[in-house]
Order: sequence, then C-alpha cells, then structure tokens
Amino acid sequence: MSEALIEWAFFAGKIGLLFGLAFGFIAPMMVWVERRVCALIQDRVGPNRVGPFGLLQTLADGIKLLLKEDLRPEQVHHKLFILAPILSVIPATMTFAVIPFGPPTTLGGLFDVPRRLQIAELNVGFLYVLAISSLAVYSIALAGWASNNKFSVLGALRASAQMISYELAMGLAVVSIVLLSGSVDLVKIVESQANMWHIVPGILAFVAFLPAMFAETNRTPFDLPEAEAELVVGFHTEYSGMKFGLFFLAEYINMTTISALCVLFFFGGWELLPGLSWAAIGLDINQLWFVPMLWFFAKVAFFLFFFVWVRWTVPRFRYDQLMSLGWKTLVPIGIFNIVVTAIAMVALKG
Amino acid sequence: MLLSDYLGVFVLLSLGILTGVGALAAANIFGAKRYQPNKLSPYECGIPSEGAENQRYSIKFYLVAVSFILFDIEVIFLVPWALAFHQGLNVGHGGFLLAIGLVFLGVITLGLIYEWRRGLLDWNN
Repeated sequence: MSEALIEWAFFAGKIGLLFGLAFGFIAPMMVWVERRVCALIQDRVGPNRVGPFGLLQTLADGIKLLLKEDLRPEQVHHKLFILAPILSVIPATMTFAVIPFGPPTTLGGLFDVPRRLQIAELNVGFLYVLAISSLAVYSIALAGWASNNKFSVLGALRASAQMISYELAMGLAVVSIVLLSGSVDLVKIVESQANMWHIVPGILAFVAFLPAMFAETNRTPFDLPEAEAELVVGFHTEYSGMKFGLFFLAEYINMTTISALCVLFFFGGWELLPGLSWAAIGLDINQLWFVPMLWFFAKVAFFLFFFVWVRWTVPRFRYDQLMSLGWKTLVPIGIFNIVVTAIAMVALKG
Repeated sequence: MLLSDYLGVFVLLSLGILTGVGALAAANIFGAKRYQPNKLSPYECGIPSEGAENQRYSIKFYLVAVSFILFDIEVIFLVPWALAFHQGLNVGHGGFLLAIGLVFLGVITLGLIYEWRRGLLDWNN
C-alpha cells in the first residue's frame, strides 16, 4: 500500500470507528440498558422478547419509528419545526472530533512515528467540545418555539436556562484541570495523569463537574425541561416518529461524549491505574494498541451506566432548587477550587 | 491553524447533516400516510388552546441569559491564564501569576456577590 492510501485509510477508519460505534452500537445499546436497568431497579423484567435478552428491541423500535406517519401539527412553523431535530444531531456528531480514544500508537508498525487516535488534532483542544456542545441549546430553543405550544415553549426556556447556567460550573471545573495539566490538548491532559489521576487533586472540580454533566444532557435529576407531571415532555411535546427519535439519539450521543470527557479529565483516560502504566505490566502500546482503547471504552461505559443508575434512583429537583444549586453552590465551589488549586501549586513548588 | 486539521470536523459535520436529513427523509418515504384532521391539532390535553400563541414569559430567563454571557466570557478568559500559570510556575513566576489570577477571580466573585445581594439568583421572587 502506498503512504497516502494508508493515511486516508487511517483517517476514514478513525471516523468510521467512532461514528459507527456511537450511532450503531452505543446509542441502541443504551436504550436497551436504560430499559433493562430501569426494570431491574423497579423489580420488573423489562423488554426480553425481541432477540436474546431483548437485545434487538431497539432495532424493532427503530423500524417502528421509521414507519410512523410524519406528523406536523397545523399550528407549528413548518420549516423550523423540521430544522430543530436535525440541528440537535449535528452538534452531537461534531463534538467527538477531538475526543482521543487511545494512546498515540504506530498501529503495530504501520507508521514510523506514533499517531494519535483522534479524528481532528485541533490546537484548541477541548474548548472545541465546549463551543460545539453549546450549540445544542439552539435546537432545543428552536424546537420549543417552532412547536407553538405552551408546554413546549416553557420546556425549551427551562432547558436553555438550565444548560447555560451549568455550562458555567462546567467551565470553572475545567479551568482547574488546565491548571493541573498545563494544556487544553486532551492527549496531553491524559498524559499528565500518568502518576496521579486528576480526580485526587481535582476532587472539588469533580464535585462541580458531575452535576453539570447531568444538567447539560438534561438527564434526571435535572430533567426539568421534560418534567412529565408539569410539562408533558417539554420541548418535544409536539414531536413524534423519527423527529422525536433524532432528539432521543442526540441525547444518548451527548451522554457518551460527556462521559468520555469526564474520563479524560478526571479518570486518566486510557491510563491503566494511577502510577501503573501499560508499559509497567509489559504491554507494548504499539502492538496491542486496542487494549488501552478498550480500557478507555470500559471507563466510559461505567459512566454511561451511572447516568442510567442515577436516573432511576434519584428524584427530580424543583426548578428553583436547580437554579440555586447551579448559581449559588456550584459556581462558588468552582471559583474556590481554582483559588485553592493555584495556591497549593505555588506552595508545593516553592 | 491548518485547514487540513479541520478536515475531520467537516467530515463529521456532513455526516451529522446526512444522518439528520436522511433519517427524516426515510421516515417521510416509508412512514404511514393516513390523513385525519384531528391528528394535526395541538397537544393540549384535549382542551382547546387559549391565549396568545407565544405568550410572554418570566423576565428571570432573560436575566439568566445576561449573567451567563458575562460569566462565561470571564471563565473563558481564565483558560489562557491557567495555561500561562502552568508555564510560569516552572520558571519561578508562580507567585506573580497567582496574584494576577486572584485579582481577576476577585472581580468575578464581586460580580457574583452583587448579583446575589440584588436577588437576581433567587428564582422565587
């Protein structure tokens, strides 16, 4: 094979792997996991008819969504109504461009120098993820407004206010990660955690980051935008069939991306254990490059499971509680954490 | 910045558009088509919709949006400071950079306290 062909195959392979994994495996599996874990927690059986353990249930659901009538209620703004679900999928797809999913490797001698397992090597690093994921607010606000329904408008307003409020907490938590690792590049952030995962010095940052993760993806206990008892299902009340399916898909993809970010920021990414590298147990990253990659995916899978676990065990917040938790607790914690981290770093250095 | 660095981003952008448009187009082609006027009525729990179509909403949402813009920009300004701090720490400028950062964080905190005291963060009144 010529050099250029290998380059292109590597590029297409990275995109194919992540895109296929997210849309073809993680999202369908998560729907199944969500329903089975929910059933387990509520002492029910859950879907178990379609395929072994009901694993093909999501496929059946997908076909059903496809065959549903493409309904557009008469009061909606037709163009914007259709645009909103498409806009929700686009940022969800774009965010994982900078997520590295394995250590730099030569892929068993295919390349001369170790190459990054990352779709786009941007110099802005994770700031790209923060920028693109903020765009998800537009699709939600647009969906609610275009639906022209009071439940939808209220749900969309709540969702927008909540997402932008918790973005602050998330941003402040991430600044302390930059302080600790000295880079915005996700690969370098992971490499700086070789001896000590950032969860130990950054425990306060994690305390602010974790609720922000749930609030940013509109998941319970912060699923106020779709509080069933008050708002039907909030911004997607008027959506049905595949248009609803796209919102659902985007939610699971966003959960995956943010879980991956959490693992990269606080839990050492693909590093084996704090202070124990892959080389120390005699594993050659250049040959067995997929072992750290699978380890990284396993960590992400734990956080995805955690999302589901929390959803079925923790009750929903009230809206004023949600806003005061964000502004009066998490933002001060974030500021305090930056001060403490910076002072501790100066003190330990001198 | 090289444009080729962003090639992956553009590929993902087009894949995202394809997924969204493709799924909706497929649903439009394969979906059932049984026209019934009641299907097109808005969801209002069976009661006809009343009042203006897009009614006014609480000023609180607007205030949250304004304070978000202020604070988010300040948070983004902290990222270059954090990078400079990490570099400066290794060459012995840690104390100086820390002082600068504390002044900036102090201004943010003052803004937060002001908002808090003025009651902008209390959702209930």
